[in-house]
Amino acid sequence: MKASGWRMALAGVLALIGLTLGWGMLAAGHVPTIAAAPPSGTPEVLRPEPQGTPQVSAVTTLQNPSPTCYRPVAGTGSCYIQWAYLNAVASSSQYVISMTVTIDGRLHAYHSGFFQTSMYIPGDLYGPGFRVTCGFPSGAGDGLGNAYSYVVRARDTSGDLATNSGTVICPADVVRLFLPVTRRQ
Amino acid sequence: MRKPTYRVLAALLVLTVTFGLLPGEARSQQPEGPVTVERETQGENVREITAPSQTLAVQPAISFIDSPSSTCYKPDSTQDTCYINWYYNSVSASPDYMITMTLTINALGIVARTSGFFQTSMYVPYNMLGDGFEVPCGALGSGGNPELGAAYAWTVRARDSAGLSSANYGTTYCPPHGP
Repeated sequence: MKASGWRMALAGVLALIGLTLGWGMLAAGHVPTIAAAPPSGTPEVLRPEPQGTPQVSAVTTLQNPSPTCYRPVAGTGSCYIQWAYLNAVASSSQYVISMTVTIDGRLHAYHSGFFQTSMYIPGDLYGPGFRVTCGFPSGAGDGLGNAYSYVVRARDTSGDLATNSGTVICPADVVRLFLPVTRRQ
Repeated sequence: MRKPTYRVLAALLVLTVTFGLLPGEARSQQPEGPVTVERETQGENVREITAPSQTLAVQPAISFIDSPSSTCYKPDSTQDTCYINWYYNSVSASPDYMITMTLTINALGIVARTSGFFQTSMYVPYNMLGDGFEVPCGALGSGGNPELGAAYAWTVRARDSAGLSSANYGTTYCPPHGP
């Protein structure tokens, strides 16, 4: 009986030590880095971002250089927004799950990862770019028209979410309609 | 002393029956058709390599297909028109030849078929597919994700001269159309 009692006590002590060590390791490994990690496969919730000054997130590398709004044909009122490229690199040993492009609060592109640790989208994958209205000339007389806010987001399998946001300004342009004028005889 | 001996013998008999007969039975029931050599999953994505028989499955030459960044984009926010494309699709089978690679968007059927021409690898970049494949963007939530539009399941399949196949299965979500 005595030996059995000692064994029980020893087992109890070992179990307590194990629980303490396990709890400590769990607590240390569960520090959220940027956002609470959503469970895999759940819908990505798009949250509104502050607009204006460009903001860059540093956890997952996300690049979207040279946001451009251009007007290919004068008098059409149509402008196109384009980037040189978009590039997302996942945190160490993670996969990129998705990358999204939102302009003025509207989602324009959704990219899904497929067993890839980085995601590179060349600008011309979108053809001419995303069509927007150029807008009337602003009162400043600088020849510029509408301003559009954009948000580029990338998410990896660790749950890290990187967000870049900024504003792109278009050249001014309005549709010109030439109606034929005929004199009544 | 005798009882434990009987128990040990009985246990040995049970083990022999379990591990000796069952695998043999399983072997005899194995189908003759294609054998899955490798298979990986990641969320909704699946990639696999299959062989027509067990003998060819030992050391497959064909690789997994690389089809990164499946994309659905909406060039004009006023139109319910989206385009699906990939950054590229690439596969290798060296020293065997690549025979074909087909792209299928399940809702549209086969949308592209590339043939090999005495080549051991095949690379199809996005700009070989024009603007991509036109699909309706779909209403918000129509693809099952409350933040996105329609969902399109797709398959990329490649076959080499040894008869081995590689396939990728994935789903692309589109931006929604509507207010």
